[in-house]
Formats: sequence, structure tokens, C-alpha cells
Amino acid sequence: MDPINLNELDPSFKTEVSQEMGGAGIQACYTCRSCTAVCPVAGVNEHYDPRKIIRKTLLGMKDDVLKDEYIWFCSSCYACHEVCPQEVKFTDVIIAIKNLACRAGHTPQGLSITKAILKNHGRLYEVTDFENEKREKLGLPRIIEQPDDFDKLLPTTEE
Amino acid sequence: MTRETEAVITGLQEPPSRILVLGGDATGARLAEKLADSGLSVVLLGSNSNSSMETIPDGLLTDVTGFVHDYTAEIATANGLVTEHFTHIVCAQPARVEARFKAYGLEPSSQVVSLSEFLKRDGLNDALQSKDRFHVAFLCGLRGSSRPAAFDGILRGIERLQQSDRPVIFVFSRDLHVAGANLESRYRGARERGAVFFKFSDDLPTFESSAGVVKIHFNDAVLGSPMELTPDLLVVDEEYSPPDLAAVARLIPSSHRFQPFIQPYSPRFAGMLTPKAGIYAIGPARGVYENDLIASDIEAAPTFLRSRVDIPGYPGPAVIDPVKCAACLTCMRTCPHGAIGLGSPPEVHAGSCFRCGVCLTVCPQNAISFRQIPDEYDIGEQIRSTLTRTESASKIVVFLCSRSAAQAYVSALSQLPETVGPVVVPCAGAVDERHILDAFMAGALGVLVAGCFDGNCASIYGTTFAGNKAAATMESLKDIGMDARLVRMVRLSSNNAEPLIEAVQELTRHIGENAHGSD
Repeated sequence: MDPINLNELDPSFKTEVSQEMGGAGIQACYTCRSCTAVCPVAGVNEHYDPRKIIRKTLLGMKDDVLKDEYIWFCSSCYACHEVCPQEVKFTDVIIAIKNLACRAGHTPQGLSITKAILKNHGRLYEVTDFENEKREKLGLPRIIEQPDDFDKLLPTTEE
Repeated sequence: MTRETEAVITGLQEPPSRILVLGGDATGARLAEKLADSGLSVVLLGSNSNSSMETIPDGLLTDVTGFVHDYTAEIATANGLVTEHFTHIVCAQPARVEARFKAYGLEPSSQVVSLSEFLKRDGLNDALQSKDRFHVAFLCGLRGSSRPAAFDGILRGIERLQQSDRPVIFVFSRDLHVAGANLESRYRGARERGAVFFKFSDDLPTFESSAGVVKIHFNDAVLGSPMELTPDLLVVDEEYSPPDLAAVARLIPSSHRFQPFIQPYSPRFAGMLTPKAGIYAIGPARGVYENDLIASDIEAAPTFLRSRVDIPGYPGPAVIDPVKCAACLTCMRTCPHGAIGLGSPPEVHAGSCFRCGVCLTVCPQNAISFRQIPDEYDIGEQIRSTLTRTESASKIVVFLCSRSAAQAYVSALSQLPETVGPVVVPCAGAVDERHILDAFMAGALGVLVAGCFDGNCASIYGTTFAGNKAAATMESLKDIGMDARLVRMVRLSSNNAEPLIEAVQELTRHIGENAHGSD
């Protein structure tokens, strides 16, 4: 493994994250590993480690963090938030990091597809005749997709 | 109640004082001023002072003899040796501080500097002043142990650097202590402003020097990856050790047990007290290097200096019978408190004697006793009377240290059988083999010696002596064909009688079984 050269890292990245909404407080981390210990995702996927994401951020490994597909593995359960002795709100921090990743053009493919579905159908699942015929048999009203609201909302998010 | 508090309460008159403060930096000067302000007469050695007190700025203490209220000091000055008299001596010299260049295999340079030097500088050098961004690495206890005082210095350096956003700060630590005022919150503050800490245990960083530039190689335990850093400035931490206390330590025979300091590591010696009356230690001389703790030492100093005086009517001191004395000086060499001076017979200094009775047991001529009639610690008399009072057939004599076991015994009275006959001794170290044998001669079936835990003894090695004496007595019993297990040493503290109760039960059981066996 090539050594990481600390002289070449970007120390302003941690400031970028802490100034993003939700990112404040990340610098208090003293790498105790409580977050990783309680994380249900880390429990089943060794590649996802909240402590490492914080460490890389604080060191200024900007590209490593923003391009990392594992930052998208957080299930937002807030377990880490509960246990952190230094009050790092990691669930909020990871949202800040995700926002920075999107802005830098590292949106994962899955998220773009989800966005397209929302844009076209106004919901995460397309409603077809199959569903509506069933609803009719049960005496329920048809669902009419109304994607118009999302047409207005989605342009405010960034790609 | 200690003699110190007793003296305060009885409000004894303050004898005239002339106090020698061994200084060397601002601490000594502050202490001397504090003492002078409280009305004590002070001579400050090794430092300058702004106030009008007597100072010998270039002086060095080379030798000192005597006792409290009567110390003779030999001081080397630019004009030769001078001899002065003092009532008390306070060791307040600065710590010896040495940068760990050697331990890390580093050479000092413009890139590699010691923490003290870094803190002394007002600003950064020109090369760094012109840079938009530069990397500073602090080392903290990668080798040896660290002190809260060292981390305080590192934090001061970091806080100063963090006034600008140009430095990128890393700390490489193994032994890091935050047990000082505000250190924990300042540590957090340093992190919040961007300093990154790397912690190590076994896999320490290595330093590679090429063309005069040092590069740090290490493995980060968090990411599990190798890393490297070429710091623009590498700040090396320092080892703290106490000042040279040899001249004063020679006065305290027990001090070899707790060198390099002159205060024992024991709860019996509060604040600045040492085993020798009239000798005090503050700050580095007693292993305290943190500014806030040194400040409270200084604050408390006048009280400590005034509190130790001879108390009339208190049992003791030990006196040496000139007829029996063979002038072997065993007592002088053994006294944990340095209370015995050269002479024929040697002289016990009343104001320095702790009444521990250790000298009574070591004297091969049995020439030493306590000066008080009747002697409340007359051990032979106590043994006789306690055995007369004890009615039961299986009598056990328990020697009780007055500082721990006696209190424990009182608290456990209801749980102890009536077979137990107490004999209170000033220190377990005052119990001699002959006392234990006396107890058997007078009718005891078993003997317990109850003293303090090792390291908890107010007479440093009194309790160790007691253990040795008990063991020696067991050997003697074996030699004459008696059961060695009839003698036992118990170690306890004043607030827990459990070990005493257990030992009595066990010994009682043992005596019972033994009696049946011999029937």
C-alpha cells in the first residue's frame, strides 16, 4: 500500500464539511470507535466504517471521501448519534458529506434513477393498471400519478 | 488527630524562624515572597526577588546538617563557601527538563526544536512566515512517560499556532495525560480548531533524515494505512525530572526508599511534608510539575511551615541510656525521620522524633526507651496487664499500630472474641522479637502483629520491619520446636478491620486444632 502523504492532503476539507448544514462538530472526534461499534451497517459490511470516514475527512482526504460509494451505505438510524461521547452528530455529518459529494458530481447511479422515477411518476413506484385494477375490485379509488409537484421541487436539488 | 492539627488547635506560640528557600526560577521566588508576606523571615537561594528579602542569587547548597530550628547550611557562592543557620528548609528548585532528541534519534535543527524553545520564541522563523500553509508536528510521550505539564505546553503551542489558519497541526502521542486543570477541554478545543491527533502504542513512528530534512513514517491505527509527513516544524517533547536534592536527601535516612524525590509516595505525607521535621518539598521536589498544583503548594506553604512544632506533653521522644549505649549508631542509620544525630551516645532530637519506636527495636543493647513516666507505650507492661484482663484459656495478644490497627480494633470490638488482648504500639515497627516472645512467656497462645500496608507507613519502613520481625520470630519458634504459625503479621488500614477479624478467627481455629492435636 502506498503511504498517504499528509503534506499533499487538503486541510480545508474539514472546514468545508463543518460549514455544510449538519457537518458542524465533526472536529470534536477523538477516534474512540463508539460509532463504528454500534453501527448496524458496519456490523454486516466491513467496508463501511463511520470512524474512518471522519478520520479521512479530518485529514483532508477529500477525493477519497467524496468518491467513496460507502458513504451512501448509512441507514440514518442515528445509533452513532446516540453514543458519541464527543457529541459528533455523525448521521447529520454524513448527510453533509453526501451533499458535498453530489455537488462535486459523485451522485451514485441509484440515486439518479430514483430521482428520475420521482420526476416522472411523483412517487418511488410506478403505478400501473395492475395495481389500479386490483384497487377497483376492492372498491378503492384509482391512483392518479401527479408528478407536477416534483417538477417544481426537483430542480432545486443539485445533481 | 495529627500532631500538626493539634499544634494549630492548641495555638502554641510561633518560635522565631529563618527559612531557607532553595529556588532557581520564578517558583522559588513566588514561594519566598508568599512566606515573607505571611511574616516569616526568609532567605532565598538561587533566584532573584523583587521584594526586599535576603537573597543569595548565585548560591548553591552544598551541605546541610542539623535538625528543625537548628540547620547549618554550607552554601557555595561566587565569593567562596559561606555557612548559615536556618530553622527550616524548603526545596523549591525547578524541574530538570530535557528534550527527547536522543530518545527519538533526532538532532536539533531549524526544523527540529524542543518544546521549551518553541514556546520561548515569539514568532515563527522567516521561512515559515512567508508560507501560505505549513505543517507542524508535535511529539508527545512517544518514548518514556509524559506529564500533564508537558501536554499543557503542547496545547499552549497549538493554541498560539491556531490563531492563524496557515499551520496544519498534527500531534503524535503515545503517553498523553489530561489530568490537569482545563486540559481536557483545551484538548477538545485544539481538535475542534483542526489539530489532528495520532495515537500509538507499540508501532511507533520512525524518523528518516535525509539532506537535513526529517520525514516521519508511521502507520495510522484508525485507517490502518501507512502515512508519511515532512513537517516544516517538528516540536520535540521533554522529559521532566526532579532537581538535584542530594544535599538535603542525606539528612533523611529513609529517603533512599523514595528517591529521586524527598517526599515519600504515601498518603501519610500530606502537602509538602517530608519524613524529616523542618524539611519541606514543593513542586518538582515532590514530583509535582503542573503550574496549578505548584501554585496551591505555594498557597499552603505558610500553614505547613507554622504547623510543625514540638508539643509538650506528647509521649516521647525516644531517649538513649548512656550507660547501655555502645555508640554503634544503628539507631541513627535506621531512624526513618533523621531524628538522631551523631554523639556518644547519639542524641535524639525532640522536635524531629516521630515517636515511632523503630529505634527501640533495632538497638542491640536495648538502650532506647520513650521519655515519659509512666510510658503509655511500655510494651512489656501492656502485655502483662492485657493478659491479666483476658480471662479465656486461649489468649491471643494483638500488637496494634496506633495509626491504623488500633482504630480498626476499636471499630471491630463487638466482632472480636474476648480472648483478644490488645497492645497498642506507636508503629508496628516498634514490635520486636523479644516483645512477641514476652507475650508467649506471659501466657499468650498466639500473637498477631497488625500494622499498615507497605507504602502506607508513616515511618516509611516501620511496617516492613514489623513483617521481618514477625518472620524472624516464626523462625525462632521453629528452632525451639514450637509451632511457627502461632505468630502472624496482618496488614490493614484504619477504616477496615476485616483483615484483623479474619486473622483472629484463623489463629483461634489454629490454636484450637493444635490443642486437640497435642492432647
